Amino acid sequence: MSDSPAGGLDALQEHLFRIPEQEFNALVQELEQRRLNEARANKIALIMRFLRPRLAILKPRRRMTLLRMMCTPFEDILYNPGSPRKAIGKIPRNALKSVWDLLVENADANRLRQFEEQLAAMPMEEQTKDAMLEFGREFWQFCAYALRGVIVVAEGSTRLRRELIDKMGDDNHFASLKEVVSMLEVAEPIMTLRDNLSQGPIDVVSNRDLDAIISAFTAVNAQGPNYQECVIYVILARLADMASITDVFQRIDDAGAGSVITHVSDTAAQAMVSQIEDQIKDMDDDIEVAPDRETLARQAGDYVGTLAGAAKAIGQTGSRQQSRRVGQVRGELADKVRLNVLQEGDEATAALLTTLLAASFSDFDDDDDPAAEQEMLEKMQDRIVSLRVAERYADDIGLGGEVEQRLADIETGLSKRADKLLGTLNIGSNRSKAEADLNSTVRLLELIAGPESADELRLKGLRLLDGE
Amino acid sequence: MEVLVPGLSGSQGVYVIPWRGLRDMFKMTVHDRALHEEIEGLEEATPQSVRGAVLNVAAGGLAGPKAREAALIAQQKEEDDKLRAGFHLIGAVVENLSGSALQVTLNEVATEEGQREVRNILNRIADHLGLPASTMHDRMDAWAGVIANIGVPNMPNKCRVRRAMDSIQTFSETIGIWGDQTFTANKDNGRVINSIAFETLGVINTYLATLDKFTEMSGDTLKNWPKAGENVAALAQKAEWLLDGWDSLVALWDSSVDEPAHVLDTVVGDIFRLLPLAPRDELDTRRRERWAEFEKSINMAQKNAERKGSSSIDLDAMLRLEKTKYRAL
Repeated sequence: MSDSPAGGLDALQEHLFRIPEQEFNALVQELEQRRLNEARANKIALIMRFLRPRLAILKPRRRMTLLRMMCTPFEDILYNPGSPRKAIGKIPRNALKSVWDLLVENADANRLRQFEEQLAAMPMEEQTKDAMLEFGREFWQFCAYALRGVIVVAEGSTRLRRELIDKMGDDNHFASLKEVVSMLEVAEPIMTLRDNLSQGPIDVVSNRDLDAIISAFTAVNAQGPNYQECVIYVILARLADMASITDVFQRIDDAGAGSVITHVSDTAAQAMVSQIEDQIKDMDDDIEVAPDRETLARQAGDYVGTLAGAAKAIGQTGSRQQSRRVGQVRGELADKVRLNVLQEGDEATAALLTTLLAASFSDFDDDDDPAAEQEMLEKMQDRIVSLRVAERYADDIGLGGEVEQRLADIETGLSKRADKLLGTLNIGSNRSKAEADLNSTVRLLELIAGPESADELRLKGLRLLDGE
Repeated sequence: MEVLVPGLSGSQGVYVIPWRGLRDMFKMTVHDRALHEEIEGLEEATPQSVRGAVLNVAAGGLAGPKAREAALIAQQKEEDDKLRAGFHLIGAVVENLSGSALQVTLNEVATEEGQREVRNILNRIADHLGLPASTMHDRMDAWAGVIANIGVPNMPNKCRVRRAMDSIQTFSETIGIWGDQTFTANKDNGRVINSIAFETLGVINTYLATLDKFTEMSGDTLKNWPKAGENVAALAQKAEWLLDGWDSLVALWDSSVDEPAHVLDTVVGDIFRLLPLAPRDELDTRRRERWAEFEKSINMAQKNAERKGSSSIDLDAMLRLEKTKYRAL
């Protein structure tokens, strides 16, 4: 990638802690401004990621702007997808600019200017949480009102809708607009929820979290059951494992508050399926950055688990169309796993096995390249471990046979190597080289077949080396 | 040899399992089996000899290529420590006994001529102490061997024991700060770990201070080596015993500090349960009462953490443990 900023970023990271504080803050502000430009959003997000270590320490007080103020209620669900797209319950950052333009175009210009002036007149030290909440209360309503008007008009006819989508430049941006407006309409209870819910990723939902969630559902219901989705999106964004949201629903029910969640299972399932599908799209890119195949295999395992959770949620309401949707996504996931975890390693594995088999054990010499050997063993280990990780969920996505076959092939190859090795070992063997060969075979065999048979091989080999 | 397993299968007591019986009671990885054999073959099980066994087995590759590489590096470092400790011991002895008039430099020792010169100096010192030259050299060698992992004071690059103490110091400080700033379940355990580490370092430091006295008074040490040597060896070994088990916890902490808060909290819980508590009689009396409280809360944590029926090895646990193992080597 010639336009990759990576080289520059390395340099940036090196100097990250040497940039004077004032300049660093200016840089952050500048980047945030540029992030609004859709074409640059992803690259800027990448740069921001590099700045994070310093950001975390410095926590520069970023100057509040009206745009940032508008986004605060739905900050949890903002994201930077790898390609132009949108998952249900997530808002791509690159949609914000066109939403903001719509607001400027359709809202009362005088009032908007007043908000602007009011904010500008507020010194940084007066921008406390309470003060901003107070300011936001009125401002979010104002935004919601103006933007809801835009949607109502657009939904009036196919043509008007088309026109709006064309103007915004993307289907996804229109879908984002709708979610943004919903979130803004219930901004107050959502802000309370955001404040009271533990920071993500939440592994275990505490009773305090549960209280906050029930209160949020109760509050949004006063404006209509459709707003329950806004609460769900925030919860999904904070949960370490999305699928555990069905447990949250169960606990709400157990707490006797089941009546506040009438519209949840479907929405949650839809959002989960859509968000996993969205993440799966990036799997092809992940392979470039994943440190090893094992990481990818584990990642895919998380998706399979979340899909199962979604299927369970759907099972409760029984929408057949949604079950089909889960089936489709499961198919997409299977394709990605087959391509990126299974097939991607096939050639290399075959080559490694051939090398391992061809390695002559007896004539040890100093020409052996220990670094190359180390790398070969690491690759083989990663291959076996990633297959064994995939083995756990392979049946769920219809890949059971394909994984088993590959594991069996490797095991056969290793057994052949073991036999050949045992045939050459004797009391006259170069002990250190022979033990190294033996141990590496034992190690790989253990990863694939467990310690019993592997240890048997080790003991057999050692007896031969001892001349027994 | 025996292994102590606290609270096995939910019981209150501590089980004493004969070393040989270990393999029948627990399912072990190949690496652990080989280590079991290696330790069984040791003449004497001390922290140093067990560490040697651990490095040997890991260097054999049974815990994977990464552990192998780490073990080879660690073995090399031990060799380096030994050489440097020996060299600096000579330096200290020469300086002390010549009234600082003579100093040995590394450059000198690197040449054959330099080595001859050092030998001559040592011979003169032997003469001065009224020892035969060969006895003097034997005693210097034995001394250097005993403190190979500890070294002498003020070495520009410390040996392993003193390095480990520095990392425990940092570990103790950071985990204490963590305990003060966090609000998660193991917050108090973070503080307790900080106290225990602090006290343990204190005890080790008193041993090292005494050990360093022997270097300061090198004339007497060499003259009375049969008795002094025993004392030096006992002190060195005590320091190693007290350090035993800390390095893997420090490695666990170091590799987890960047994890999200909830993961780090679990790690602190793990560290707390595995904490090696120095025997109470190593401490001075005013601290013993507090120590008893620590013992009690660690035992409680160990009991609460038990999971029943986990005797089979799962791949994830095996790989996770290996990662900490090679980080700690």
